[in-house]
Amino acid sequence: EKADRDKPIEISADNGTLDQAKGVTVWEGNVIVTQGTLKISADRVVVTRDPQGNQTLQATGKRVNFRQKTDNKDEWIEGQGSRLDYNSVSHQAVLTGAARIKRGEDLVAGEVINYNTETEMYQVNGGAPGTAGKGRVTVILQPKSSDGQKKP
Amino acid sequence: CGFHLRGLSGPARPLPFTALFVSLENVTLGDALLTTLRRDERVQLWPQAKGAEAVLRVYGEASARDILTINRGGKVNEYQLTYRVSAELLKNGERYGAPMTIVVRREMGYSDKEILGKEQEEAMLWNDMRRDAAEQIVTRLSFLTPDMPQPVGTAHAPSQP
Amino acid sequence: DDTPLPPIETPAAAPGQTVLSADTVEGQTDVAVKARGNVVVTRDDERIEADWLDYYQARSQARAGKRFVLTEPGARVEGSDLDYALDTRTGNADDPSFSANQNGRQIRGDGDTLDFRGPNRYRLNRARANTCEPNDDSWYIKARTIDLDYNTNVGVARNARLEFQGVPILYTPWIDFPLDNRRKSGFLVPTFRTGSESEISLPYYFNLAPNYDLTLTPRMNFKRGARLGAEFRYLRPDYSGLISTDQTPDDQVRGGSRFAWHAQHTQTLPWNLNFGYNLNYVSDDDYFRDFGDRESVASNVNLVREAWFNHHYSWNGGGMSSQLKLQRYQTLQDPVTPVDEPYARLPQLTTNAFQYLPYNLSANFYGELTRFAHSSKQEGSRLVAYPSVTWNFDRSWGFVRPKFGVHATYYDLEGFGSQPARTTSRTLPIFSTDSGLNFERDVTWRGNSYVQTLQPRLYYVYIPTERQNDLPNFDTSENDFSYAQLFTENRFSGNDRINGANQLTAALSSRLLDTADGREVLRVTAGKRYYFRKDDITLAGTEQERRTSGSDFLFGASGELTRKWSFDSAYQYNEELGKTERYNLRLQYSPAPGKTASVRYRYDRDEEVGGSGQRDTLRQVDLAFQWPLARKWYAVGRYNYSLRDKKALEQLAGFEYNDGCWGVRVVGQRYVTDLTHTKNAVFFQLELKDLGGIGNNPLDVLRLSIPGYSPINETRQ
Repeated sequence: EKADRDKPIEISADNGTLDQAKGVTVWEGNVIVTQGTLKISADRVVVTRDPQGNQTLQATGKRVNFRQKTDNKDEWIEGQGSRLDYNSVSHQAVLTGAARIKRGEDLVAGEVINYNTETEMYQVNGGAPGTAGKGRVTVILQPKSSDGQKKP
Repeated sequence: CGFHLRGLSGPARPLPFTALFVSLENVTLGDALLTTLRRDERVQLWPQAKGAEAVLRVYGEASARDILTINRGGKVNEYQLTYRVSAELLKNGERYGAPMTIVVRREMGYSDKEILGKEQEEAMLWNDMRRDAAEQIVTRLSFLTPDMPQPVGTAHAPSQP
Repeated sequence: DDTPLPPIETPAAAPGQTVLSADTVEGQTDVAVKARGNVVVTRDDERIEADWLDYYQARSQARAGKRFVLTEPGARVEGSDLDYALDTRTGNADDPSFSANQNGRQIRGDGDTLDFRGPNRYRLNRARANTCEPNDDSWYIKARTIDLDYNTNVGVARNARLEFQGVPILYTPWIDFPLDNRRKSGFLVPTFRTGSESEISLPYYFNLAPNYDLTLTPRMNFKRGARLGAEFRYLRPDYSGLISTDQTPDDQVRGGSRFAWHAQHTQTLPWNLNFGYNLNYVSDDDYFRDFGDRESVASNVNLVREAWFNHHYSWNGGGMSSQLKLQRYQTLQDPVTPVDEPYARLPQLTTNAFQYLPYNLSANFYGELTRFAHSSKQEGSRLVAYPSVTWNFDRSWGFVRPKFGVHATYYDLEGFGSQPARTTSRTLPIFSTDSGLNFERDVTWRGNSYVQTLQPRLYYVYIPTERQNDLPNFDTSENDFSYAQLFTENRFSGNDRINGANQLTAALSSRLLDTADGREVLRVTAGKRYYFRKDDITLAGTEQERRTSGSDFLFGASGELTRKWSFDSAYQYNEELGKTERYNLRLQYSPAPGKTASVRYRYDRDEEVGGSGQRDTLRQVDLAFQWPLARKWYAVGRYNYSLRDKKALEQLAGFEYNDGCWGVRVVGQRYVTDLTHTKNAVFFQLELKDLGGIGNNPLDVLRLSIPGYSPINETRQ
C-alpha cells in the first residue's frame, strides 16, 4: 500500500554492519525487512540511502521473497526470485533469477520481472538480458466469475 | 462311413447356456427363433434379461426383394429374396464369442397375372427363410467359444486337422 | 513475526484458467497482458499460437497478429489479425485458412475473413471449401458465405458455385450440405438423364424442421416438356412416411396431363397396434414406360393401393397376430401383353394364433374373412377357418411332428351375369407328419476341421380330393415347385384351391459346418415327392389324373468353396417328360470389396417369356463384374444375354474413377422394355466425398445388376 511508505522500516537479521559515511547498511543471515504491510525475507540485504534520503534496497539469497498488500482490493502481491532490487522513489521492483509475481490467484513467471508497485505495471523477459538461451515467460490468469469479479 | 446319430454316442454339442433371454431389436425372427430354441429341452427361455444366464441380442435385420431375371418382354421373371440378420451372445454384459451374421437367399418365380397368389407364396418363402436363419443361429451358438483375448503378436493358430 | 516467507506455488490447473507463455510480456494486473515472441495461450480446449497477442482480462478478449493458429476440438483456423473472445468463442480473423474434422468427415477452406459465431459455428466470407486432403485442389465450392454449424451438423453456402478442376460447373443461390452422415444431402444439384428420355432436373431441398423436409424438383424433359416433382418426408418417433408426386401438366408427345402419386406411412399405436398405408397411382398405363427407369418398368405392372392395421399380442407359450387390410391394384395394361386385373380385397381380416399345450402339443389357428371386389368378375365374400393341432417330438437325434387340421371355407357369392347369388362351402381334413433324423460326423478337408451333418427327412400329407370348379378363383395361383414347396401341404397359394394329397416327400440334406464358428460352408439338398394316389385337381378346380407316380426331382447345392469363391445351383428333373425341367448355376468370385465377378446360367424348359400366354424355353447367361483396372480406376459391366432369343436383355458398361475426395461414375445401360422395344440410359455422376453426387446416380442400378457390387468410395485403397 502507498501508506507503507510512511511507516518505519524494521529489519532483523543474524548480523548487520553500518557504513555511516556512504550511508550503506548490510544485513546478513535470515534477513526480514518489514515496513507497514511490506515484508521481505532474504539471505542478504543491502540498503543504501543517498543524501536526499531516497533509499534503494538490494536483497539476494537462495530464495528472496517479498509480500505487500494492494491498495484497493484486499489482495496481496507476492514476489520471489534469487535477487530483488527495490527503489523507493521510482517504486520499481526488479526481480531476477526464476522470478515470480503472484497477485490473488494470477501468476507471472520469467527470468527478469520489472514491477512497479504503484502503477502495478510489469515487464517480464523470458531470457536474462543478453543470454543466448530463450527462456519463456508464463502468465496464469484465473477464470473470472461471471460478474467479472475475481473468484475468491 | 463315420456318421452317427447326434446325441446318441455322447451328448450333442451343448448350447453355452441353460437360461436364455432373447432380445429382439425390431426383428421379425422372434417366433421362428423361439420355436427352434424350444426344441432343445436343456434350454429354458427366460422372460426378461434380469436373471437370465445369457442374453441373445438379435439385431440388424434387412430383407430385400430384387429383380433376378427379366424375360424377353422386359417383365420380371424371377425375384431374389434376401434375408439378413445378425446376432450376438452376451453373458453378464460381456460378449461371449464373436457376433454372427446370417444371410439367406431364395428365388421366386413371378408373373403379374398371379399377383395375389404370389403375395402369399412370397410370405411362405419369407417364413421359410426365417426358419432357416433361426436354425443357423442356434447351430452356430453351439459352436461359440468365448473369445480368448489373443495375446498381441501371436498369429491365430491354424486349427489342427 | 520474523519467519521467512513461503515459496510461491504455481496455481493448480482449473477449468476456465488461461495460461499464456511468450518470450516477453508486458502487462497491468487485472487489466491487460501484452505478450510478444511466439505466444501460446491455452484455455480449456482452445489454443491460440501467434507472433504477438494482447489479452484483455475483463472481456477475456484476445487480439493476435501477424500470423496466428487457433485450434479447438474438431476445428483449426490459421490466419492473420485475430480478434477473439475466448469464453463466448466469438470474433473474427483475416485471410483465414480453415479445416474441420468432425463426425469422421473433414472439410477444408479459406477465404477473405472468418467469423466465429459461438461454439462450433463458423462463417467463411468470400470463401472456398472442399473435403479433400490439404493441397488437393481438385474441386472447390466457392461462395459469398459458407456457414458451418457443427451443432446442427448443417453447412450452408450462399451465392455458391462449384468449380471442378478450375472450371465452374454449377451456380446456385443457396445450398445446404450435411456435415455428418445422418442428414439427407441437401446438396441436390442439377441431374441430367440422357438416353431415350433426356431430361434435366434441378432439385431444391427445404430442410423445414429437424423431422420433416420437402424436396421440389422442377424438371425439363426435352421431348415431353416441363415437369415438377415434389417429395415431402416426415419422421417422428412413432410415425414416419412420405408423400411424393410427379406432375407433367402438358405432355408434348402424348398430350394432356400425366402424373404419378406415391404415399407411404407407418405408425405405431398403443395396445400393440400399428397402422400404415402404401398408395400408388399413375395417370395412364404407359407412365412408367415413358418416365420410369428399368426397374420401375419391369416391376410396375400392378400398382398397389393398400392400408392396414396390424395387431400382435404374445403371452407365455402362445401368440396371436391379426391384420385388417384394404387393398386394390391399379393394373397398367400393356397392349402387347394383356394382363388381367387382380381382385380387390375390401377389406380382408386375417388372424394367426398359436398356443403351446402340455404333452408337447401345440395348436394353430388361421382365420380369414375377405370381401373380394372386381370390375368385371364375380364378387363375393369368403370366410376361411383352419384350426390344427401338432404333436412335437423333438430330440437331438431327430424329430417327428404329426399334425391334424380341418380347412373350412365358406363363400357368399353375389349374382354375376346369368349366375344367381349363392353360398357354397368346402371343408377338408388335412393330416401331415414331418419327421427327420440328424446324423453327424467330423471331417477334415483341406486342413480345416468341419462337422458334416446328414438329415434324411420324410414329410407325409393326406388331403381327400374334392372337385372345386364350382368355387371362384379370387386369389389362388400355383406355386413354383421349389425345395420349400416340397414341405407344404398345398401347392396352391391363396385359399380357393386345396390340392388332393396322399403323398410322401423324401428329402436328404447335408451341410458342412466350420468348427471354428459353425458357419455353413456347403449345403447340398435333394428331394422328391411320391404320390400314393393319382387323383388331384387343377387350378380350375376340375379333377385330373396325375400321369406320374412322383413329382419332379429337385437337387440344390450352394456354399463358399473359400472365403472368396461362392456358388449356388439348383436342378429340377421333370419326371413326366423324362428331361430337365430347369436348372441354374451361379459362380461368384469376390476376393475384396470393389473386386467381384460372377457368372450365372439359367435354363428353363417352359417359361412365360413375353406376356401372359406366350411360353417358350428360357436360356440366359448373366455375366457381371466390378474390377479395378488400375489404381483408382474401376470397370463395371453386366451382360444378360438370352441364348434362346439371341438377344441381350440388359447390357451395362461403365467405369468409376475415385480420386480420394471426388469420384466420377459413367455408366451406360441398354435394356428391354417390352417384346419389341429397348431403352438406353446413360448415367454420369460426379461424387464429392461426404457431400453427395451431381448428376444421375447409378448406384441403385449397379447394386441391382452386379452381385457383390460395393460403392468404391467406401473401399479404401
